[in-house]
Amino acid sequence: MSANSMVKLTIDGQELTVPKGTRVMPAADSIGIHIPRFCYHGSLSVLGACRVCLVQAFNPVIDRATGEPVKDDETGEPVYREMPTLQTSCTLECTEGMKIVTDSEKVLQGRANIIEFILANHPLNCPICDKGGECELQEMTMLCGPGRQLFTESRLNQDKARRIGASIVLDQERCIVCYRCTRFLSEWASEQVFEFHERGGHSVIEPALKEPIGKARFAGNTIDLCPVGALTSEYFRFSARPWELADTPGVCPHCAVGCSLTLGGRLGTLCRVQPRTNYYVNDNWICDRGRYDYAWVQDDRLVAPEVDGVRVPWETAVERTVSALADIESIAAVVDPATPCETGFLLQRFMSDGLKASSIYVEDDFDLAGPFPGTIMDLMYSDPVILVSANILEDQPILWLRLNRRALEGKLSMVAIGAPDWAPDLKRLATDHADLQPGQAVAFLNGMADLVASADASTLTRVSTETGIPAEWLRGLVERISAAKRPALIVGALPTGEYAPARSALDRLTRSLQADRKMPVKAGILVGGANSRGLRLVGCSPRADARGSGETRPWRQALLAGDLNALIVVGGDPLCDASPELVEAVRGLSSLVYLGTNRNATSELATVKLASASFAEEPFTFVNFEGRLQQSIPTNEPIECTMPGLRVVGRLCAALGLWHGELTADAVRRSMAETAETLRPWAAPIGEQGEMIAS
Amino acid sequence: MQEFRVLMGHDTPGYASIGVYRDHGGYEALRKALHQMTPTEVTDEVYWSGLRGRGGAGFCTGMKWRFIDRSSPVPKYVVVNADEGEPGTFKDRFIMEHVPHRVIEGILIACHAVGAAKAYIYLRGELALCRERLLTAIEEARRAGLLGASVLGSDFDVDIALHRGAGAYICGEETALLDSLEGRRAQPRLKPPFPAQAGLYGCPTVVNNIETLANVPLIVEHGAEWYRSVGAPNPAVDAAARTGGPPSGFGPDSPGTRVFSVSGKLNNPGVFEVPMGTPMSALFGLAGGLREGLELRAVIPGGSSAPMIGPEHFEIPLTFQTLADAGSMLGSGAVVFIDDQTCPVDLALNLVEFYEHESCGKCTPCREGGQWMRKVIQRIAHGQCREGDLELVRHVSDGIKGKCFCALGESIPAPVNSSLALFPEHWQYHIEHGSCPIGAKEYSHVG
Repeated sequence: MSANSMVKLTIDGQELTVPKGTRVMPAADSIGIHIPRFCYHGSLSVLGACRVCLVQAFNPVIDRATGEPVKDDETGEPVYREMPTLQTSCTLECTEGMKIVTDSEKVLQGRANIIEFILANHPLNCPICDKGGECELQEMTMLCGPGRQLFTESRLNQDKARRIGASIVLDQERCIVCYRCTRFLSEWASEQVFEFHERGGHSVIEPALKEPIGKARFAGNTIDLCPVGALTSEYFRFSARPWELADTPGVCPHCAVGCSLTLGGRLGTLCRVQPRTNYYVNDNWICDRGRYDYAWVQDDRLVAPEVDGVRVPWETAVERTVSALADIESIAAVVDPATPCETGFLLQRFMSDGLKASSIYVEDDFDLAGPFPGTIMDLMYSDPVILVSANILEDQPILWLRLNRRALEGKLSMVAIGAPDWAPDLKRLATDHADLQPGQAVAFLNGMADLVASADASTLTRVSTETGIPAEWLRGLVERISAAKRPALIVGALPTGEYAPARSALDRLTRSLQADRKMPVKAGILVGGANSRGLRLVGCSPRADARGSGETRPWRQALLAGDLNALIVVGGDPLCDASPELVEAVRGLSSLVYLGTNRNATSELATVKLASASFAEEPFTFVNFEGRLQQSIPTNEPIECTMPGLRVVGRLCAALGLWHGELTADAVRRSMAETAETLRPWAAPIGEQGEMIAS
Repeated sequence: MQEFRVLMGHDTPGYASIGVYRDHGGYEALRKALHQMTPTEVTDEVYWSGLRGRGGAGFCTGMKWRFIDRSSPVPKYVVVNADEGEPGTFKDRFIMEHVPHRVIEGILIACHAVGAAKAYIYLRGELALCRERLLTAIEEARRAGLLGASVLGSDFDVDIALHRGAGAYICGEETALLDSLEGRRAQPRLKPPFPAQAGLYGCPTVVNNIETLANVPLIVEHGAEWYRSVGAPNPAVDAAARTGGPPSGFGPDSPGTRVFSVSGKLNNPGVFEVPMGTPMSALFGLAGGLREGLELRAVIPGGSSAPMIGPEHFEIPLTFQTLADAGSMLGSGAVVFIDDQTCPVDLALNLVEFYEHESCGKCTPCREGGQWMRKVIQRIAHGQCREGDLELVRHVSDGIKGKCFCALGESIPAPVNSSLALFPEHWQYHIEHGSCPIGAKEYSHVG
């Protein structure tokens, strides 16, 4: 950055240089000076409402005639003039030569005044408040409050403990009107869940809609944002005090984005899941699915290994598994895409080196679709982002949230294209959308490749006829793409047969879009689960001629044709909606080994059940769709007799002489790094924001 | 004594109709602005006249117009702040009711000057007669070809829309007004950006008060020097030379007339237009003085947000600078004379109740401090005092002062502090006796 776009100032005597336009609060943060705050949040717009972040600001006096700073005649030091009132550091922009004082008597008095005001109508019953222990108001009161209470008038009484939908409980009395929740909902989520009603001291948040907020996708984030106990989680409320939780960094197992989490466990129970700040992936947010969908960690678990429906010691289970599989031909493993890399790595070793004629299928379309060629940041800085049958609002919600934020800032437009009845919410929220004739995704991609090369009338007419999209709309889209510096295109899941033609169409489109653009154009198919990409890196893929998707996945075909003798299912519930024929075929297998966490349709059919630890109970790594390696550290011990997946599969390997020594995550990762060049990153430390290991 | 400029013709029958207004030379200023002057010349004329905003802040109007980037490709807007709600203020209402066409003409000239094709009048919802008069005036102007496409045969297209507020004082704050106009919850916006950079719908916007705009046709018609011929202009500003010297419309520069809303227990309260710099005593005289048996105790010189001043300032010339020097402000031009039968505690309570009720709730000191202040003063006024209450009032007042987001909150301590300073014995009597030395039983409503 050039020198004149930077300004130099001092905060509490420390000199620093920041880009012009930076406000004092983040500037102070950058040098480790923490100014108290309520309404300020780095990921939300600046508001300046709570007034607690007051500072004293002094500006150098400038001689109007010369434009130079005035110097004291005697000392030669610049002369400063204090701004007439205390300034809110969240709104005040840094200017050249400015002096900021954050800890003077005047500042402390001002802050204490504000906290005293906030406390005037705030209930002082912290011992029965769920936020106690992590309440920002509590902390600020202790840190810089007045230390005594002069307010003795009657307090306002408002609604308490109101259920807002299934997941959020609102206590209106505790609200300190910081607008963090409403700002998040309007500036990121485009979800009108709350709004402020009334004015003045009666200002109060209310549900914005009469209908329950069950459909909200991101509203749970307002619970974390709330600095006080006004918004609390129905699921977490009063289940633990925050200081009792063993908070550990985790990774979300729900989709290919792989949001960074904080796992809060206590005494073997996963009490809550919260986002962990990661500006590369999820900013400060997670979707409601990631936040609330963890009941399965406690409910309906497989708590110990079983053979033929009878609990057995692990030794017996391992022995029975190995003996059941050892000399059998045609064994398939079906792996859930949220299976950790370590487990996948050992499974691949067990299958290929230990068993005869076996193959591994991951329950996703990743083998057909290939990896997506860009990162979340790449997509955020693209414009326009075209979504072809890719419902990222449902399938990768946080990716949508981050793109939507850019769209709301006017820096990006999202264009959704899909069948008429597909993804109505995505279409409604997108900048622009078009209805595509069902089954015409490939035709659309090919058409776009043709149109980008030449948008003449006859091509337009042809593509319009094929896709059912009006020619004028297509022309507008092509013009927008052609004028764009950095367009991006995301294709969603397709029928089995369409992946190959879609990929060649995408190649063609990417080449013509790239043309003379400097920035790489990001266009690809985005499918798969939390660790689809990682499992491929560790070698969990079927042969190229044995790929398929959905109901046509080859293991199902092979099972029905009687070509399989045994099946290993790792995670998930692939037989949950199985046809009677398929169930019959499964019953005909010599064995079905299930390695997983919960009782479900698949586990009920299994002859051997290997009870594994949940994502909150085992150390593991995932690689998200971008190729970002992240690790998760368990918050709880594996419950009852369960074992981490890597230890279970590791013991299977050890029984066949394929593993020696200790079975820890670190040992497995070292082994991975020694096995292949591409797996070297597993031996290196993994940062809090993950490491990009593939692109 | 009175000098009718803005109110010129208000006493002429039918002046609110376009025919009479035009018979008296109405809309000639618009014709002149469109056919004989460039927008820059109009803006310069207004700047050099030294016209200052009549809404309360007194900012130089021409300067405000100059801030608009006419070359910007986005639409420009003129927004008229007719949300007159400051306690004691009722002069815009009088202007709109009696000389609506002068207002419309001023708006049209402002649109021409800043390149706006659309103006919005944000009218206080309760002002039903103003609405009727303005709508009629707009309709008459439209039929006369003064509004719409190609005004008076020029290439200037303009339209005016009238929007009624729904009853919140905060909507008089210009950025909250813009939010309300856009259909949002009315709360003041962060500045900068100022409305001139990003106002209505994010576009360059001029927000002017009714009285301010009603001055504009006169300035355009008669010129800046004529405008400066009355009032209390700063002699160092040379509107004829138009170069050098101190800036026009700032500091001691208070040219022209001012329409004052004068209230209190007076014999002849009402709206008076006098030259700037007229002594307060003269205004008192115009209003017929206090009713028999009453004695003057204090004056609120510029609307309820302006601190009260004592009778020692009775002869003060009414200009922006003199009142600022006296520790108060000219504000919205609402002069409230307080008599000796009005309980200062009750008066403070009345005003604090108003601000508490009207607080938008955005910032903490105004939202919570206002409530706390009201509760304490209410106790004092109603004989439920506690020891230390005066210190508590000062404590709360200090807590609010200088920490609010906008001027509304900053106005809360003003009447309380000035009342405490002017009438310490009276407050002390309340504390000590739990009753009022005057014995006033009813609230003394202002205005």
